Amino acid sequence: MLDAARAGAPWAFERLYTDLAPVVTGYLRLQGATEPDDLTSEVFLGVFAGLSSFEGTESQFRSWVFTIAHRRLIDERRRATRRPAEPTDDPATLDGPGGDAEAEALDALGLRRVYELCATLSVEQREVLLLRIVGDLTVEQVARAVGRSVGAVKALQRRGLTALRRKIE
Amino acid sequence: MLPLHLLDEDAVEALLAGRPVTPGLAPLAGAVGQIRAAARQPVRPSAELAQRMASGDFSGIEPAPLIPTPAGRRLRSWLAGVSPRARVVTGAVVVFTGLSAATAAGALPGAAQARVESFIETVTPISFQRDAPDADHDDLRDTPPDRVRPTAEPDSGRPDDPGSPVTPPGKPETPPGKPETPGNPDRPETPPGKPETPPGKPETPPSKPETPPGKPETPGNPDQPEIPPPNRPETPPGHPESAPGRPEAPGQESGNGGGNSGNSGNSDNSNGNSGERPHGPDR
Repeated sequence: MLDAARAGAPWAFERLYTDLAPVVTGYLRLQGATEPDDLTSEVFLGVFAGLSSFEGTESQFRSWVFTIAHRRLIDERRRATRRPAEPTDDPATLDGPGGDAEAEALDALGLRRVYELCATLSVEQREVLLLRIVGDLTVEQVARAVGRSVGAVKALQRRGLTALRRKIE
Repeated sequence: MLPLHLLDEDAVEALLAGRPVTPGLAPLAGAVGQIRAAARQPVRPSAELAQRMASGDFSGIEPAPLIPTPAGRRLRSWLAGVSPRARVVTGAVVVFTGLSAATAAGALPGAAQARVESFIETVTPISFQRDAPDADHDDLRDTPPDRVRPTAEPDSGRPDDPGSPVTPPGKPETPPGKPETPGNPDRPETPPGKPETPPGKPETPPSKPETPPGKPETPGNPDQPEIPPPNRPETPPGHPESAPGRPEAPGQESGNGGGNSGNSGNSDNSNGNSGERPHGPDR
């Protein structure tokens, strides 16, 4: 699929986007991005434009996409220093999926719960846990994406899970 | 409440990967599952992205930077690709640079520090400053004559073997020099050498060749060479005044010249100074 995308096949771009865009948007949203959908589109524009110079497996491609998304998020935070980067737990401000109102309400409840959980984490714990849970990256890939050592990532994810556990109980 | 020690590395990995966990961790696994599920909502691409994906044309858009590989991995891959000779040279450069840095920082143990310093000084134009001579030199320059005195005394005292016999004859000489020293402050300041030149000039040309060796004078004047300044023993015969007068000039020269002659010159100065001060009040 990557080869096809490198060759410029539209179906390959569609497929890559369909596979990765939801999790990238979810990561950006849970990280408190103000416009996660737009930011996701920016990420994929850059990724597809640079695809010809990328070499690696699909797992490495996934890691690359999340690394770019993480950096774009940091850039956005720097630009918008006036606005808080903390994720909101107000369901009214969340982008809910369109369609069924009941499902929307359930999703909103689920999202509210998730935002509450994420709010208990520090910024570092949250970025590590979300890259591992949502991005499905390995410890090494997360370490490279956030610019930390593997040991630091392990410590952060352990502390983050401990904080979540305290919150649940 | 669940015991927190249950979160070992295996449990953490199982939780994050969505694998089955112990019943005690089920609530936490449920929370992790909620987070994962919350990030699965479909999202529509922006108009520009949709258009470009359809056309497959992403020209004019700044490509996302590739993830830089860690420096260690880059170095390893580079080393793997170069010839063995380049590896050896690289290793030698790294070791030499590290040694130079450690030496410059004075981080090596004493003997190794001295050896590596001398090696680096011979191999490269780098020269390491030794603290001791500079410190002495600075002390002598900066400190007032009162202070110079005590330092000069121990200097003259240190080389007791050769110096102790010298100092006794030197002391009697200093008195003759002192009466002239009061006059010297005027003379040497305006033209340090000129007053002495009439008698000294004929001597100075011959003395110049003597000064570099310095020692030839000592055989020439067995008494005077004992006087600390071996460079200008001629002055005592010609003008004993010049001995105290010149020390100022040679003092500067000796500072440039180095610590060896500087020590003797300084000791002379100190003698002269010490001679002036005590004698001044005496007068």
